[in-house]
Amino acid sequence: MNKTENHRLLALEKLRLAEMAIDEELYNACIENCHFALELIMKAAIYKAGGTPPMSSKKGHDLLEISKVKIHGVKFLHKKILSTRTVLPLWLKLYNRWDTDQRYQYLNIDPLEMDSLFDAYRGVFKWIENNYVD
Amino acid sequence: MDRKQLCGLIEEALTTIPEKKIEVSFESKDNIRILVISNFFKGMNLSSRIDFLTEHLIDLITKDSLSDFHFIYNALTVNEAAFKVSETTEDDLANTAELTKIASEDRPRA
Repeated sequence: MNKTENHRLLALEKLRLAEMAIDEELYNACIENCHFALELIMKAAIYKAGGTPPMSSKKGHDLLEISKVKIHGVKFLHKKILSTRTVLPLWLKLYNRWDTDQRYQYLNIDPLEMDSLFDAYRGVFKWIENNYVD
Repeated sequence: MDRKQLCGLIEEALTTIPEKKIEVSFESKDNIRILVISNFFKGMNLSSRIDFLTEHLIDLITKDSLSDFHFIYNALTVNEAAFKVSETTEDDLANTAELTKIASEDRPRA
């Protein structure tokens, strides 16, 4: 199995875990799995385009840093997201709302906000999967 | 575009927010952090605040001259910025009002 497929399958499992968590109202678990799912599908897209994503512990989990990975001299995912007006607000919402430094902090997030955040993660995930991984 | 020009454009994009303080800083060579402090955000959850700022900043963010930059932003109320409390819900606001009252009662009289 190549790295793209490996990361895509792991990403789909994490997204499924996030869906199960939101159904059970386990919102902190949901956000963490959403973040992990998106991180993995972004890495799958980078591998598919011929790049190498950051793997070190800090940068390797930082969605902003992953979006900056250059392929042929261009910040690959950053440029794609920036040029897609429907995806950009979702992307801005999710990376401005939560990062991995918050995983040890219990967030008392309300269900409506959680729904909108989950939709943002899932929207960006599916857009990357459909356009740059499949 | 220099920092002064950028700050001017951010101010212009956010003119609809009343009585605000805006702080802009460069966190790295390509990360721009924007902090907006205003009581306009009282009772709004964090995602709604981010959505509001996105709606007003999106034309700026997608400008060709800024397309290599990454915008990180946050919106706080005055109490949140000063006292690290939360004012994202009506319950929070009631708690903050209670704390403010207690603090004013504890203040030694001259």
